[in-house]
Amino acid sequence: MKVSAKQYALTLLEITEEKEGKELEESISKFSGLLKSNNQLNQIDKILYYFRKLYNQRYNIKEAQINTAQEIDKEELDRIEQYLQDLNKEETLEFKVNIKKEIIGGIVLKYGDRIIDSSLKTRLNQLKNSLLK
Amino acid sequence: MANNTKDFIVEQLKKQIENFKAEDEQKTFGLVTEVGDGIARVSGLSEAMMSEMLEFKTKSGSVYGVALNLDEDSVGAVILGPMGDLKEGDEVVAMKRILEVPVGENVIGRVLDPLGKPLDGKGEIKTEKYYPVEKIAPGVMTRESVSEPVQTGIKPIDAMIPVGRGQRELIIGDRQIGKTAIAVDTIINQKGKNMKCVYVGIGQKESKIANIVAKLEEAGAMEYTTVVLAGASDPASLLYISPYAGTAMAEYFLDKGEDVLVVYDDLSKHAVAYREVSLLLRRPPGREAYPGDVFYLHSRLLERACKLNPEFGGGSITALPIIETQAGDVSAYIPTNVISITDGQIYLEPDLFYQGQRPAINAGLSVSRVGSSAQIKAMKKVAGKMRLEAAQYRELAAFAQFGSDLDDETRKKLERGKRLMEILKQDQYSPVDVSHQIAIYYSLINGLMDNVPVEKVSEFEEGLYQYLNDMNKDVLDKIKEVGKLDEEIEKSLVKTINDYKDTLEYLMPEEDTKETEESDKENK
Repeated sequence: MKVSAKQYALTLLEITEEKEGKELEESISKFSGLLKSNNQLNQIDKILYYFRKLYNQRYNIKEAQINTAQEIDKEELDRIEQYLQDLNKEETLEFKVNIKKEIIGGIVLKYGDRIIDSSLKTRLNQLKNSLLK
Repeated sequence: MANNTKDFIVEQLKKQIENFKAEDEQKTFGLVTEVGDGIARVSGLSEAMMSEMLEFKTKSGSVYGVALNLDEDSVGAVILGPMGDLKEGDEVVAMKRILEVPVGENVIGRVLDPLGKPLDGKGEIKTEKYYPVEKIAPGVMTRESVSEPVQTGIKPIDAMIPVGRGQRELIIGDRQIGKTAIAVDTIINQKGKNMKCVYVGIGQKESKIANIVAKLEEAGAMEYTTVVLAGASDPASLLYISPYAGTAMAEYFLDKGEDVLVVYDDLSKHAVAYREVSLLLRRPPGREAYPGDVFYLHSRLLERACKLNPEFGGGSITALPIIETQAGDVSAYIPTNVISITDGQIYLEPDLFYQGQRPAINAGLSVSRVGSSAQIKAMKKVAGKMRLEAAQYRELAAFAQFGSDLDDETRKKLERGKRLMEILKQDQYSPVDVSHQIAIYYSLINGLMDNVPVEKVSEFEEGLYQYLNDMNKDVLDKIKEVGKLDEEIEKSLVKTINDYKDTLEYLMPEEDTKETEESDKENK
């Protein structure tokens, strides 16, 4: 029977649960051995994609991305993080900050599959559309 | 002065910009994981709705699509229009609104694509209102039975296969046999009949549409007609939504209580486009590789044709779907589906077409399930007899091929039948008014044409219309006004026809006709 990438990812999650150090390393090498013997090493990209997803699901983690046009200081960052944390009370957020020049100004927040777009670029577009009407 | 206008413009601009308020909405987004021919698979988008608009943000601007497949962890979408440089990894934002098209009075006289963008170079459509492309058809309580006729102006159709306002009548036949011609003639004949028309071209050659639009313009029919076109070179996704978009535009007028005629040309290509989209989205294929829901595809479209009762505005949408058969095979999958959905069909036959019987309507296989309730009384009266005459002729003609010894009665029936077949011929782009139709049928069934030579019938017909218009317009108006043939009108009509015949030189000698008249009297 063919085992899907998702099932592999689930197995990986289960065998690594509550393990640390040497034990963990051992299970991972066992898992890669299984993949090798099943000739499934080419699936590794997909398996890792699902593993990340399942892991985040199990531990209630959401990946959050903050895109800004310029560098922002610590204080501002903390405020943004606090805002996102308030929106997602139950979840732990993992933050990542990107600098993106093309949004001109403002910020774009992404977390999970939500997006809050308050970049200058989008606003200018909205203004353009409303003036065209 | 110049300064003043400058200030005014600046002031206006400032005001507009002041009133503008940017809102930051929380939206769901996803990433393109796979791009195929006109389709894309998107991960994320956990809250996407069915047939929701999606905005694909590519390097060179936004491309729009519609969500069609909602799977466990991905969404299958079709892209409306060219793909641009859409690629894997591009961002997709759900727009939180269902696919809509602009509707209103401004779409009349225009040629549009299925998204409401102009194709005729006459500038953007400016309307306030947008209607969703997919809409549930009106329910039982809002409907009424079909009672008013749609005058197609095509003699055999108005007499034998009447179409009513709110009916769905299928036009079916092989390629190049005059299906579109019937639809276009019907549109042309709606002039001054309180009817808006929508012509939806699905996968048609742009040259053909250009011809149709030119003809409609020439006949003055573009004043009440909208053309929605998804051409042969457009992606399947646009072909798929075009009939729904056309119907949405028609529904605007329906809601205002007006009557609308919608032509779908043609639904076989629509089914093929939907098959393409479905197979690309990996939905399982069924018979002839069509997906399981092709029936629903057409039934939900044609259910939107309706006649509303006065409480709900009393408007109507009449649908004339067209189906192209392959080598006359009406029992293929899509033709049988659409036949079973519609309220009757007009079947066009190649044999008749090549014999010169045009429009090539096969009266035996064509039906209208709404029937004579969609005819005015006068037409009902003459059409009933005429249909009988036609049926008898067909039976006798087959029989008479073998023997030459025929009794008088049979010979007369055959002669009259021949004239009837002549009357049923009609040129393209020349619809005939109801009152004229009634006059010509009346003269046939009452033997007034028995002494007109068969080859002169069309000449006689043309002359009769002309004569009636010039000499006795009253009787034509009365027929339309009263709607039935009472004794007074009948007398006046007979008199005019006889007067007209006195002016002719090509009539056959009298002796033949006397007998006919006598036998007619006996019949009465």
